[in-house]
Amino acid sequence: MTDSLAIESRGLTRTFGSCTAVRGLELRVPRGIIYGFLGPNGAGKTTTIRLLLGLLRPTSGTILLNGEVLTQERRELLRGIGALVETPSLYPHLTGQENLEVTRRILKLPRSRVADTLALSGLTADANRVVRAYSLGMRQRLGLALAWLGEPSLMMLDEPANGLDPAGIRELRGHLQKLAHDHNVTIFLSSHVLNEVEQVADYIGIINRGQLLFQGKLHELQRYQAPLTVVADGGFDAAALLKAHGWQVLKDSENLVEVQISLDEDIAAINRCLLDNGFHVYRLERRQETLEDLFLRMVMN
Amino acid sequence: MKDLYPVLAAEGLKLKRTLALRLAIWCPTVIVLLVFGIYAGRSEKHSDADLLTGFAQLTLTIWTIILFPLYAALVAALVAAVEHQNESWKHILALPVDRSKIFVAKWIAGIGLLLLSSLVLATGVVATAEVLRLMKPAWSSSRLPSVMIFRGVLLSSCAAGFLFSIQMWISLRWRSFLPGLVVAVIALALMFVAIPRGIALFGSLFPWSLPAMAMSPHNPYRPIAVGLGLLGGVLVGAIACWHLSRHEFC
Repeated sequence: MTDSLAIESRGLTRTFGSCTAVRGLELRVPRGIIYGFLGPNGAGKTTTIRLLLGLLRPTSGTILLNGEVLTQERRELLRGIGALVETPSLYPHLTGQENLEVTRRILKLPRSRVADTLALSGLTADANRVVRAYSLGMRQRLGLALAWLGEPSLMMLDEPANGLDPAGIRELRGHLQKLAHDHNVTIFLSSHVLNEVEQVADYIGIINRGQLLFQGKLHELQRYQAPLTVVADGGFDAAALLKAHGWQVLKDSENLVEVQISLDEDIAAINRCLLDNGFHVYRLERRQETLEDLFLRMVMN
Repeated sequence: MKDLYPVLAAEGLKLKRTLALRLAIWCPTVIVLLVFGIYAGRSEKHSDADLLTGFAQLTLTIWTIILFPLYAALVAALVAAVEHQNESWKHILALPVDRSKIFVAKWIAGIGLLLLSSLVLATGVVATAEVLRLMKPAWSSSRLPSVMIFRGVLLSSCAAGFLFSIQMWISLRWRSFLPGLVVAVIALALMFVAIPRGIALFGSLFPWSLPAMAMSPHNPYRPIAVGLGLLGGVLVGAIACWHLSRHEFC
């Protein structure tokens, strides 16, 4: 199992004085997938990433990267890892190209990597401008380029969409999917926006107050999500029909039924079932879940 | 050393367009021009064989006693600020490089700046002395101890190793400029109290007075100052690198 995991943590705990930022974390991140690490601000996401990068020492517990235990002495394990922690670490007095060159020299990479990475990030035209003059989005892209420079097999990205406009976020999404699926890169992506992660992640981990509440495939999360609201005539009869077909009806009224579903395919099946039985369906709606709603639901479960 | 070179090359690039690099040229240049201005305004009648030696000594004295300790503190703060200000530690320290190499490279970059400024000072003194000779023909026979000047600034830079390592340690450990500045100011105040009162031994052991001790060829404590500056610099630097490698910056 360990060999197939890009990241594994065993009982990972980190305290700062009397405050426990991360408590007994048991992360299991398979290789070649996008792992969405979700949690509200202050949940322990950044502390976890810093622990995984060896920037912080665990109070207790073990970290395995690509099956090998990470220690301060085994820094070579970090060679296959690219990271963007919070804001990009850039030198504003240097140009975009020089910023990449600093890391290229340390990693002893071929010179061509700088130009290739700039091209991939769409920053070739601005490569010779000092970073001080870059927009927030351009800095974010350069930060991602910095993480990708060494062609890592594992990327840890902490809120990478921060500062990006909607077009930039969409571009980032496509870029991450391309890296994961075309280059077989494992991406550990932290965010506090559920919707943002849902669109790219294969796996999800949810952390709150330093503890992992959920970890698993994206569709496994669906069971915690908001029910489907069906607006149709003959609500009570529709509810009875759906119950008879095995769906879990949570609420029914004269023209409204709430059904717990686990897959998006269930929505189409419910619609077909109602139409086939002569009901008029006016609306099928699933409320966009916020992380807070999800946490409440998980705690209640 | 082979493994250190790439980190050092990266450190060199980081200094591009920085205030630290500009100051390494401008600080000594300003001092040289200041003393040059004083001498250029002097009458040509006041002439003796050691006049240009006096010009060189005045420039070197102002530099080593008053400015160099403060300048070393400033260089340490500015070199460290390159990482502190941009929160770059979280990137640099997550790279697959032995952390101590990162700090050693920073030390070498800082020492390189100190040496550069000393070289600019010595070259500036010799060059402006030649200009004075051209401006005032009566001074053309005045001696200029060029070798003594270059040797003096080089030994003075070596003796500054101790104080620089202390300043560098403080600057890298704390994000704020303040701790380094406070230490430098207190140390200078102590130096100005101790030396005029003739506490020679204290003066020869005190890291901030070592560059001044090492400048004068007539100072009996010169070899001690240079040796202590180098030894103290290496020792404190090594302890600091060990400590900083284990420090959590993020």
